[in-house]
Amino acid sequence: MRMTRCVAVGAAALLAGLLMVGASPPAVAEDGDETLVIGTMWESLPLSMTARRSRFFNESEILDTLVKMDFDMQLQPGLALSWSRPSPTQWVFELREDVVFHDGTPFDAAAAKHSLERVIDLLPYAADLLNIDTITAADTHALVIETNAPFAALPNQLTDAITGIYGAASFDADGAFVQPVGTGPWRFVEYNPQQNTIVERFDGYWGDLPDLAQIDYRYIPDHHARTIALEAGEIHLAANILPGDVERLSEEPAFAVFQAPSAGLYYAAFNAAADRPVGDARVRRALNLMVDRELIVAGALDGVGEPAWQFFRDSHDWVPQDLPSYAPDLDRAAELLAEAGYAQVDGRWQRDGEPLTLEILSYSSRTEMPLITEAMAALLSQQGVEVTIGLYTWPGMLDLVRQGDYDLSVVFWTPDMIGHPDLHLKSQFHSAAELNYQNWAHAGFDAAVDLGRTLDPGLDRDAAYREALTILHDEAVVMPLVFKVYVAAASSAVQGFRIHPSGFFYNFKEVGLGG
Amino acid sequence: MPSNRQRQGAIAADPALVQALTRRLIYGAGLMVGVSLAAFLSLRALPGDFAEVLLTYQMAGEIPSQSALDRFRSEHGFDAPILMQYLRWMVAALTGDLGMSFRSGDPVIEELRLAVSATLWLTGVSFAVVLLGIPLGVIAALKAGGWWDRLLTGLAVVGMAIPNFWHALLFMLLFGLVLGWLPSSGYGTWAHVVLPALVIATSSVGVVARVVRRALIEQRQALYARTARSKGVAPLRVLTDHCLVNTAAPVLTVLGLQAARIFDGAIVVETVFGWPGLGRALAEAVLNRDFPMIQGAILVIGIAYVVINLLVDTAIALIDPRARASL
Repeated sequence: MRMTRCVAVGAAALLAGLLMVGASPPAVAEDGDETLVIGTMWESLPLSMTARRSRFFNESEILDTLVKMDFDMQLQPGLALSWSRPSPTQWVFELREDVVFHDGTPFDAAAAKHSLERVIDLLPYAADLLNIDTITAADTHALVIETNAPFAALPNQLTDAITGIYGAASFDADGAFVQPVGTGPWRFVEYNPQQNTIVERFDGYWGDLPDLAQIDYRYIPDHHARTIALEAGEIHLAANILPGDVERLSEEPAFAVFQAPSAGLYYAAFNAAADRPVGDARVRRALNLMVDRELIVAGALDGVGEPAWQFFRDSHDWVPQDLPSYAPDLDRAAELLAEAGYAQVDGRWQRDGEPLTLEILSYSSRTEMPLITEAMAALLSQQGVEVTIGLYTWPGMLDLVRQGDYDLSVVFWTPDMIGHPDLHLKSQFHSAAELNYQNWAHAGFDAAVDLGRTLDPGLDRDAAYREALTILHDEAVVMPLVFKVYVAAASSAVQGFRIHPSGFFYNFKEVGLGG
Repeated sequence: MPSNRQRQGAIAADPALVQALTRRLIYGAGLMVGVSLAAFLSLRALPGDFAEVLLTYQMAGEIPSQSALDRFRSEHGFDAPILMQYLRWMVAALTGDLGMSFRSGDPVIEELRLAVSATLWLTGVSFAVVLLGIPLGVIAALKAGGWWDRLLTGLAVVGMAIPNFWHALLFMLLFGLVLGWLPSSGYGTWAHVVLPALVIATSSVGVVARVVRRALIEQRQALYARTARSKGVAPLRVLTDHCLVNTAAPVLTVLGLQAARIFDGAIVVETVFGWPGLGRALAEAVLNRDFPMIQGAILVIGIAYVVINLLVDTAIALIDPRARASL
């Protein structure tokens, strides 16, 4: 029996040893109050100038853009103080003086030109978005941009993260990208693959200096793990928490929950090809009338979201205000389906003996996406429509969408990302758009969008876009579902944090750690 | 029973064993070729054009034109027969060139090196915990039918029944949040390794303990053990010199299987705990369609399986002469 005791003692010692090894305190920031630790779900990406990563460089304000977007989604001076369009195809940007990059080199028109040209070279689609023909440094702080065609949305487009200005020190002698060296309030310090990115305050910043000394963007992809890390005191702020955690954390005094309605929209895009059931606009309208968005928000998202009835929020003059609503109306939906040749048999819609069946595609990487997709499908099924759901990775879903093998694809975009309707209308719904996988084409819509992008802000431009959006709405090209409400939770020590409605901007320069 | 010394002498002089092990090595090499072929072909068999996915990535998401695609296919040999493409990939792989990761733009071999070192750390600690199953199983066997035995059996069943991701969250809540002893997720210190290692090990430690228990009970009831005891050999000696040695084959087999399972477990556990290892690299690569990375990771995991099996078979043969015949 001595043997039994030996084994038991040995086992206990090994277990205790393992726990002792682990019993050191959690790795909270060593610099105390001055370092903010944030748990994010995106920052696993390697350092590069690709679109997703450059978005991080912008939202973390390592880089500045020429033009910025304030919390009301209005244009604000960034590295450019002012801009004007002396001719339809020419823009002139007056740049800030006394701005330096993180390596101490001065920012001027030549640096801006070099960076923008570099981005356009690297990202072919940047050229399409920006419509830039030539960039000229007219003098040290005046940048002249000629566009390929009259393009009024250029200042808005220059708020996009991919146009952040990189200093020459971002590249090595061979021109290869090394690390982001910008003009923002935060200087890049280090990136540990799959773990975290650290930035520190840049004391030579041109604007008001931040309070915090350092920010540690820690990558915690699991939504539950991120919240637990916050509750355990390992991080100060958890971005994109699950709807189910919002109410619970709101009730705890040690935490503050931030919510901000955003321009981000979850919507179902219809495949309008003639051989699909939703190729018929009447069917698309009927489906729109069957889905109660209020119910999706309340039931699937615990109230964290805003029901969406149209593609843009109605906070702009170019959004039509008096469109007929797609609020649930089952009688009208039944009429429309009957007009389209469908009849209800045993509660299920069918035509020529074939049930009305919809292939719904979606992807699971966004926190709310599966919940919204399943709720929408359940509501349609309840109304007698057969549905099949396929949840894929984003590229996997895109493959199937490109092949046209779907009826609805539930996606997330931020139509209002640049505060101008051109970006998404032109790139997603215009018949010539490369991203238009919906097989929908409408000459009147194309003409209105093509006109709108040439016009300066004003009544004519607003009228053009109102016409385009009216067509989009009447044709029911999409089923808007939910405007995303960005949620984050922080320890009560975090002060001054606000969520930017674009969802792409942290603004930590106004954040402090108290208590 | 021959003494240990006699047994070791027999191994050195046993040409049949050397031959059998050589044969296993050759089988192992063949298996690795099979694994590499599977890693290569599985991705080519997926729907969608491999060359198009590659080129689309290189063009930062822009859809390539047909002529660009045709040119790309011929430039990179995608128009060659699939076996030829495999051979080219294999030759490059043998020289350490597994291509470039789509996501990072860095060599896959470099990414794998970082991920494998993180995973070996995690799985190494996990395996050490799994080894606890041996003493636990011995205790259960010695106290068969007692409360300790029943407790262990119960824990083993619970450990096997609860999926890893659920375990992970429960452990995070208990040790990270309620007790505050350990960081709930992350990487870098010994404190970070404890929870994920325990989670991975929980499903295996019970399996090992149960196998040890069953094997030891059988051996203790065997005639030779009874004879030894009746001859007056001390019970401890009967246990250590006779019974335990004879449980080696089933225990090593199950340890080998569990070592391989640890790699499986790492895929989920690394993702939940934010551990930058091979499992998460594979999960991220799959989500981002990083084909070169997926191929590389499958290759490494496959090779790990083959090597573990080889080691286990060899160890069993060295310990148990009866097993040599089946090699």
